[in-house]
Amino acid sequence: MDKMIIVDNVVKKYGNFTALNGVSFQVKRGEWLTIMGPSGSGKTTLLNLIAGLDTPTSGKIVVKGKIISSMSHDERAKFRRENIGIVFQHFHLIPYLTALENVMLAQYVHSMPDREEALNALRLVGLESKAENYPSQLSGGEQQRVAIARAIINDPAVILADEPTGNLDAENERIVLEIFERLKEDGKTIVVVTHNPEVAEFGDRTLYIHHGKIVR
Amino acid sequence: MLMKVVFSSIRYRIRLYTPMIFAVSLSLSLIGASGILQNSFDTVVEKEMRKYGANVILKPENGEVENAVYPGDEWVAIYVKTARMDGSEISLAVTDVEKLMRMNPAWVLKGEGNVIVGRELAERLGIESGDAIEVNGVKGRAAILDSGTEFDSFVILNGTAKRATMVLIRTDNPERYRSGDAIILEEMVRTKFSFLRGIEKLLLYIAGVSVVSSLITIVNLSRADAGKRRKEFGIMRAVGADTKMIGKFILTEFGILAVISALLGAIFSVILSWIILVKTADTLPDLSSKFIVTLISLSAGAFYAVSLMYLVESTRKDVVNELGGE
Repeated sequence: MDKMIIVDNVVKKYGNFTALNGVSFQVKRGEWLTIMGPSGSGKTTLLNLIAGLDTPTSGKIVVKGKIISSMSHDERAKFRRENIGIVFQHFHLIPYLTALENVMLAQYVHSMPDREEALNALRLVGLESKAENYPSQLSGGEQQRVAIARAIINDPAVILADEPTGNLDAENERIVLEIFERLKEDGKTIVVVTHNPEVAEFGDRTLYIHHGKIVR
Repeated sequence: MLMKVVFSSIRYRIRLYTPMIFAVSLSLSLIGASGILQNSFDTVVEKEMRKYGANVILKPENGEVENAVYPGDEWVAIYVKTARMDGSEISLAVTDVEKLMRMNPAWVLKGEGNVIVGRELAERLGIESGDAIEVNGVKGRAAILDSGTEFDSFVILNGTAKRATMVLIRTDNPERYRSGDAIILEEMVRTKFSFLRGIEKLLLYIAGVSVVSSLITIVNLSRADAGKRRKEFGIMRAVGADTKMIGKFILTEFGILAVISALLGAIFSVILSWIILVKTADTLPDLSSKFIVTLISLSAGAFYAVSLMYLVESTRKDVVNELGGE
């Protein structure tokens, strides 16, 4: 199964507004694809569809051989917990859980929490020492690294990241991108949405999207 | 992990949940105190009846009498499940006299009158079965009871003789019954316990107002919060939690709030009723086994009704839109 992600003629409409209009592309296993485009071009919508957070109006999305676009709300959630890790621009950590607990929550949802494994994941992103800190006690870069640890804790085949460095300074951006590089070396398939050309340089290939269409 | 997340969430929302818990536990304490007062009327009445020399008391338990007791050197159950006490009319214990007679052949009731008079007392007063008599303003026909025991009795009825409301009052209590007067239990309750009755009704009235205002409070608070939590549900969805799993978090959280509120409500209601009963009737609260279960049920009902709003929010398909994006 060489193709990890297949997006086939996907259309997404919100009322009369067409966010995506006939988008098609494929991502190979172990590839790092960057999707670029201006604000409002449909990049995040596309990422949400690949993540199974939303469903297309028409077209088909296949991830790891499964047509997720035809799955139910709960089936997609179950598929996601097994196969997809998501990193958001705004981190989206649960505010009342510590860094460690945020990671363990993903473990709990997947199967069962394992403190040592969760600490290992935090060690991978350089945050073992801040495991007991709450998100409000962490910098933006640190929160994003916790979010990455949470995304990779269940060893998903696909990592989807929506502007993962959008809220970070240069130093933290470098740290986060290095983590993604390591994940790619481990064989993960990575899709990163960004409007930052410097981030795109880390990827194997870049798609440009504009007004809901792939332009190159 | 479930409990860790739930307790962390409760701690995080303590400012939101405190007024909710307070509102529910306040309503429950008023309802509970009123219930305890009502329940304790039996104890109060029993205590008062014994002062007047009652020798057989039909003890109601959970609304239905399981046994009657005969106080002597030992307490001996002499009758099972024949009496029922109407919660709203605690002045009367209803028993099936006919059954009582079948079980205890020594008890013989002659006549169909509505005022039972003990044999010895009837002889002393010259009353015969069927005679028109008046006891403390209650007019009726006499039925003579031969209980076969050393004491004699008045049996004051509110109904027909064989299926009657009754309390047996010993006539060998010289302090109270030198002239053979009888005490009408209804009257005793009316005069002696009218204050308690009034408090009980007042508590119920305040509880009614409190329930309505509590519901408005918790619905308003949680409606606003449910919307705010949509993002949190979206995060859980994003990491792979399905509807069942998120529902488990929500229901556990609200279950804990319900138990906390019920326990606080129970404690407050016991304290409130204890103060009222000790001050007014020198009696300790009579707690039924169903008391705490009832309060937990009411509390759970309130919180689970509210949790529906959260469940609806968590199952919205656009919940992930809260996570941002274009």
